This record gives sequence, structure tokens and C-alpha cells, in this order.
Amino acid sequence: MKSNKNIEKEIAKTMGSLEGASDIKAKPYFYTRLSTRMEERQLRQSTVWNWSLAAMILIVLINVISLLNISTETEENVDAIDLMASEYSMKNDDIYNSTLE
Amino acid sequence: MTDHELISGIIDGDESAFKRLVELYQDKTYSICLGYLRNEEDAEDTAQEVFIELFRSIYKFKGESGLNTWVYRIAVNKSLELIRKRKTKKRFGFLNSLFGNEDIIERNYADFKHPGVQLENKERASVLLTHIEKLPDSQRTAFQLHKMQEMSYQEISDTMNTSLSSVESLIFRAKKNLQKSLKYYYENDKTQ
Repeated sequence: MKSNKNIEKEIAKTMGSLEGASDIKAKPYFYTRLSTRMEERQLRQSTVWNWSLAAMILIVLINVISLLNISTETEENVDAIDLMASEYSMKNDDIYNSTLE
Repeated sequence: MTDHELISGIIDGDESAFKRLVELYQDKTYSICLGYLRNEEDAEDTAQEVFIELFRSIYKFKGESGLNTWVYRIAVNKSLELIRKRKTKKRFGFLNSLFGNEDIIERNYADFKHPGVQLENKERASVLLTHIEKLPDSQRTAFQLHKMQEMSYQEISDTMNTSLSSVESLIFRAKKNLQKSLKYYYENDKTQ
């Protein structure tokens, strides 16, 4: 174990040991690497944006096609029900049209 | 070229203005990041992120403080952000190792030897940096900017967006805390 005096000395030296730490330089071609990174990021972002746009268009298309199909199917179903009802004389509004005998 | 001309040049899409800005501040920015991160690769990455952020948000610069203090503030914030991420990764390191995530590699920052420090001081500087890391963020920032970047109290106050008296107090407390923890370290250092 060290004496108090030595410890104080060591602390003082340690506290002053960072002298010159500000004299460092970034590695050469820093700007070249930075501009490459920026270009790559921009390219990646535009690719992501393009894919998102394509996905959105696809979703909208699927929805439009589904809606069109549903409306056609509903009309066909109504026709089929009407046909069956008239074949079995079960028209819904018959009861209102019939007169009391 | 003045700060104002540089900024208007960048906003107008002049690449040479951005290049000039990077060349002006790259060394100091890298130095700030290295002081915090104690790893040259991380410092380079973070310094690059600082300039990307600067490029994105250049239109937000109102000129209330100097361009240099704005750049250094971003550098400090980005470095602290990465340190927080590292801590989170460390906290969840066990879970990551369970799931076999090999990306989480714990670096030994304690062995880092600062390239700017004189050879005879490298060991001591490494010890000091380890103890600086334990300080609260504000004390650490004030102390590092003063000791490692040789900034004046006024520059630190502008960078940290705080008053001059706060900076004085932060540096004073940082020194006290460091002396205390170094004393404990040397008293219990069995290798000496």
C-alpha cells in the first residue's frame, strides 16, 4: 500500500494526464466516407419508399377488386332469392298485395 | 466563408459548402466522440452521424449560438446516446446470448489508450477515463470539454446551453468526485 503523500502525488499526475488529448485528427478521407454513407442511406431510403408505395398500391387494388366482387355477388344473390321466392310463390310482398276473401 | 455563408450554401444545395463545414469541424467532433466512446471505430461512426444530423437539420439553425457550439452539442448528445444504447445492450446481454445474438460483443473499453495522450501518460489517462465514465453526464461533459478539448468555460456554457456559474460548479464537483474515486482506487490498488 502506498503512503498518503505518494497517493496524492499519483492523483495529481493522473488528473493532469489528459494533456494533449485534444490534438487528435479524424482519419484521412473522412469526408469521402461520410458522403458514401449519405449516398447509401439516401438510396436505401428511396428503395424503402418505392417498396412502401408499391405495397400501398397493391393493398388499394386488392380492396377495390374485393369491393367490386362483393357488390356483383350481392346483386346475383338477390336475383337468385327473388327467382326462388317466385317459383315457390313466396314473394315477400304477396301478403300486402293479397286481398281478404 | 462565414458561418452564415456556409449555412446558406448548404441550404441551397452547395456540396462544397458542406464539405468545407465538415473539414472545419471534423477533427474536434471526432475528438469529442473519442473522449466519450473510447473506441476509434465508434468515434468515427458517431462523428459521421453528427454531420448527417447536421445536414438534415441545418435549416433549424437560428444563429443564436455559434455554428461550432451547435456542432459540438450534437457530438456530445450523439455520443451520450450511444453510451446509453451500450448500457441497454449490456443490461439485456444475457437475454441476447440466450437467443444467440452474436452482434452483442462487449468491448473492453478499460484497455483503451487515447491516441492524443503522451506515451508516458497513457496508463494514467486510461485510469482517469475509466473514472470519468462513472461521473454523472453533466459533470462528465463539462470536465471532458474543459480537460480534453481545452474549451473555455464560456464555450462549454454555450455548448451545454447552461450558465457560466453552472459550468464552474459542474467542473468543481467533477474534480472533487474524481479525486475521491482515484484516492479509493490507489489506496486499494494491490498491484502497486
